[in-house]
Amino acid sequence: MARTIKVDYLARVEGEGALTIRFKGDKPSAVELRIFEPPRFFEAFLRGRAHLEVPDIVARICGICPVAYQMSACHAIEDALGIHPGGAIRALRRLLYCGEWIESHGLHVFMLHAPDFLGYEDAIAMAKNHREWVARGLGIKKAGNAIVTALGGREIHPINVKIGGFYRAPTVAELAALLPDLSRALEDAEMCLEWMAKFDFPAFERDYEYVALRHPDEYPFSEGRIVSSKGIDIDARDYEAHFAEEHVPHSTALHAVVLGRGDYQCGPLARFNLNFDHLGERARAAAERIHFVPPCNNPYKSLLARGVELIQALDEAIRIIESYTPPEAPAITAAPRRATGYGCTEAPRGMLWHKYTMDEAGLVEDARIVPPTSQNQKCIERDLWQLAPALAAMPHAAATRRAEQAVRNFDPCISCSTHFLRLSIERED
Amino acid sequence: MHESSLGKEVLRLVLARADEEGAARVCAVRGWIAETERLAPEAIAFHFEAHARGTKAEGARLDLALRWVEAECKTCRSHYRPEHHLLLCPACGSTEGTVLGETGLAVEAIEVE
Repeated sequence: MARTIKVDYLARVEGEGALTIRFKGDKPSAVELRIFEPPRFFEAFLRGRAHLEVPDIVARICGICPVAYQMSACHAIEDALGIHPGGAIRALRRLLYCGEWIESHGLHVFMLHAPDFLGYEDAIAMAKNHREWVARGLGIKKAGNAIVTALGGREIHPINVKIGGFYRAPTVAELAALLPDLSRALEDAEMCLEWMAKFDFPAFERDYEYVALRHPDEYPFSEGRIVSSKGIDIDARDYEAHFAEEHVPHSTALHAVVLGRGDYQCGPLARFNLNFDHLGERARAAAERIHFVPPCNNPYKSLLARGVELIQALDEAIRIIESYTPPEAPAITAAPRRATGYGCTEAPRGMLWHKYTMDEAGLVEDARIVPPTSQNQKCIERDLWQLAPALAAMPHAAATRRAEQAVRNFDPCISCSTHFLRLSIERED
Repeated sequence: MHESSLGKEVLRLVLARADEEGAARVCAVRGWIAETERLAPEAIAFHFEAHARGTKAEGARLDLALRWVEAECKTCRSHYRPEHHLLLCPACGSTEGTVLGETGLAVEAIEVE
């Protein structure tokens, strides 16, 4: 007998994380970051589903970077099918990715990370004294949202992406309508980078291994080889031979490592360090004006890397739109076949690697997804090890804030909220 | 992907209430989410369904209505929809305002057997 129970429950929408630092004397003996990440059941969710459904299913995994999930899935499945959409379809995909980078970096830089540097509780408090910068940030983010809406069909979870291309290609006029706001956002992003360059960046450096895609001619979005600052140079299909994910007892998130070496960093600072020579003229000039050039090993300056990538993505979006001619067909098709495919693309927060095995009918037999947050987890913990003595010397509220800022350098999926960390500092005598 | 944390939190609440009521199965969950949160209801439902596998809420629908929340500018009294909880009046630029409604995510009813 069915019945309805009335409930009166209101949840605040925020991330969820905890950091425990243990000390023996004055030395840290353990640093444990617990970030909730969906365990592997999303991979189980995909088994038995038709390959054509995958882009729409994985788009729901993350509201901030659905395009990244869709693009990695499309590239992996197209790899299995043996097709490689080019021309206008490829340009439109880069444009869609520009939109996601703009909205994601815009949100992170202006709403979440800048308040950390300026000493505000959140963007709401920051807006009272820096209204014009917050307004510029919102304008930049809106320009990215408009690209995703025009190309993806809606703002938050695009529905126009399919294996082989798009369900519908936009008209020249639809894309041209975006140009005024994009041009204004590009000028604002250049101004904002100059403003952010004056922030007080904590003195902190580490010898990172940076990992990112590298393409022969372009700043990377969806294509290229996986390279590292310590000599890795591989195809996406060889990822598992060089990287592994480890279970750690204190967290649901897996920790990715370079086999035989340990933690590594992916994301904007990694891309910037490994692909500076592929930045467009405008982004490169903006970086050089503030003397921000590789090598940079200060994770707090990932803020500037995001600022440079905002300029890069806005500039590239404008160039794609200005030279756009609609494709003859919005997508190419291919018959399913038994195969395994690999795809790796650059989500705003770092590399997102997918692998799918399909049967003859195109049903997914196996799926593996390695998100950027799990790739950066160990790296974040290593940063916190180095930061631990300074945190222990601070008042608890200030230490929590500084630890959040250090985690936010990596823009993990959890930091969609301003305050997300429960910090415990324990001492063993 | 904090949609996943939210889906898990909603499931935790729903299962606790179902247990309190002695229900054998949860069939549906209804509530709302404020547009200020910039989250798609179906994405939270997707994570809820994934977390619910193997529990008495397996197969239950999570229906969240998207609710628009307005703010009133204290300076010029105009009404607008704040983005990301930011009080920034598009008419006069004031950062002083009042949110006219609840934000966040709410669960209002659970259908059980």
